[in-house]
Amino acid sequence: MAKYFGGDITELKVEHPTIGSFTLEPKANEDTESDRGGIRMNDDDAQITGAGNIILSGTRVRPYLQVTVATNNEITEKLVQWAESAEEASITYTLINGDVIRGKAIPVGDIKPSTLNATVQIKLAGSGTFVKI
Amino acid sequence: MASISKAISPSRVSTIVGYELKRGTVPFASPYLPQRIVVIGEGLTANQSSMPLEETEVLTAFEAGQLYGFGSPIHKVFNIMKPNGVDLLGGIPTFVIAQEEAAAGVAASVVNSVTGTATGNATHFVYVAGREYAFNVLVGDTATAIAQKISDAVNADVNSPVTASPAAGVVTFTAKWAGLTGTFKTRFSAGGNAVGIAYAEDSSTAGVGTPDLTTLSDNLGSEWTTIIVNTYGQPAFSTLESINGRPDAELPTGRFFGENFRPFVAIWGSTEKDTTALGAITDARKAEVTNALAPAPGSEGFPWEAAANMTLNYGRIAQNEPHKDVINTYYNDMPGPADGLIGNMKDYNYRDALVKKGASTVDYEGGRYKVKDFVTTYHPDSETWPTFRWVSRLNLDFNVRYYVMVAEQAYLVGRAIIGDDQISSVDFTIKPKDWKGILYGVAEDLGDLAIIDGIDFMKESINVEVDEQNSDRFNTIFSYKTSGNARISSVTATVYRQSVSSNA
Repeated sequence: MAKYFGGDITELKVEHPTIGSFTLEPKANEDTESDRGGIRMNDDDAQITGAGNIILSGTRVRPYLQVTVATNNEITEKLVQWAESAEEASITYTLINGDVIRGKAIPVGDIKPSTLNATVQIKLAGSGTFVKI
Repeated sequence: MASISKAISPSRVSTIVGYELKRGTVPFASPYLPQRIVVIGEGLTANQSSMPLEETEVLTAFEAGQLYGFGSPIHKVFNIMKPNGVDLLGGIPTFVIAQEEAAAGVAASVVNSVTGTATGNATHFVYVAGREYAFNVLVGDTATAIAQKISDAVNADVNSPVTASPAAGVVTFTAKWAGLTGTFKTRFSAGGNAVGIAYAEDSSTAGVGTPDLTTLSDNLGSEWTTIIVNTYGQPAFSTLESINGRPDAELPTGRFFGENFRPFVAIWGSTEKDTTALGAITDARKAEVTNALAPAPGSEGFPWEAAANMTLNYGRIAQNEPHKDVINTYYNDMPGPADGLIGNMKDYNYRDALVKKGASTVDYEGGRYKVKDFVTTYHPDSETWPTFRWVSRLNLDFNVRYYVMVAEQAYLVGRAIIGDDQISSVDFTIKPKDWKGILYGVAEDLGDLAIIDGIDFMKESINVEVDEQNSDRFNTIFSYKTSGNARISSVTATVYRQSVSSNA
């Protein structure tokens, strides 16, 4: 396999403590945006001492995955239920290169499905970090 | 598209109505391992023919008294754990497996003499197994009259473990059951006002006999019993160790065996003051993880009362807050030493030596025993830091197993196994990557509960596979480190004193 191999997310599995297990199918040929979460250092060129030592300022960022998935009314309702539950689910998503990423997340922001395209863009954000398993 | 209801098979055609009832989604958030306590002990001689011998759930001390006799070891244990109708264990299911008295058992007894004629009025006290009974001495009372009063005071207490028989200047106390566990001490106190009356112990006879425990294994239910209150002490060690087995890396046995993993800790009590003797008992069992001592050095009470007290302290923590330890908890209801002295266990050096030999320790403060260390006898020479020493950490190990078991039941067992790359539109499937992801969640949850220390350590160790030979089988391995408890605080402080010098 090539060292650098991007592409689709093939599967997004959700294990919710009360709603149950369900699988979301991300749309092909759509870019996704994600952040694994963790600590990031603020980018400020002035954060340096007169003697030349860097001054670090770290902040935590939450992990998220923004992805477009195929939907219908049942799936949309599940997404809404998930958001309303205020409870993170265990999510596992698989990249086309075979890598599997896992974390805990809940839908944040809009859940506005396109009835024409039968897709919805969702942002799943959570605690801790998303990690490759 | 598949039918949304499968109450009637889709292949059916003829007229029929059907209905099915399914269990809802199992919440993944697991509680702690539910504790389950079994008390093993004797009933009174008077209850031998009527008491149940099979495992029996007992909810209150009164019920224990009704079944096994008021004053029996079983009843007294429940009196400590569930006194006056109050369940101090907070609802932990508690069972009894009673044993019949040993065939040639002898009831313990103590004979005390009373001498003199009362020259005044006073309240005197007799302590039977550390429990106080008061009686009033009136001017002119003879020794025989006082012996009668003593007997009346003790016999009036239905919960007393002994019966008292008066005679001319003599009162004889006899345990209500025959057996080694009935051995008790008595003591008199004139409360600083003897009024011419003297009390002395003429003789004492230890109880003899321990019941046959060979059926204990069969009587122990199939559910996961986590704590056994061993009222017999040492005579039951081997039987309990045989049932529980060992968590050996190559050949685990008993309840540590993989197919039947549901181990317990058996708590026994001792009032032995001699730390050398205590250490010798536990040092002889350094490979075993089953028995854990509840010490009450110098106590006038029964040794098994200490076991009940430790069970109360440990059981509550194990059930509700397993990341904690019983460090610095007090026995709730344990008679102390008559002189208030517990011997060498008061000294840290002796306590340290005892723990290294697999014996738990206590201190004695304000008239109460205070737990310092609660350990199993496990301390093999090959392990500098014995893995299964601390009872609380064994319970964390059990909790890890329980948590994984809940995940197995909710997400793994019975599901169709499909490959990681396969897409399926039906539910009730499991892929290796799914199971691994669920175990990642288990690691996070265990870390959140402070059951394990090092979430990433556990995550990185998780490896799952579908068996190469048997496609119905999942293999999983992982490692973890349980969280410790701050038992030792070592602080070094350096102080500098500025010299005060006059430079005038």
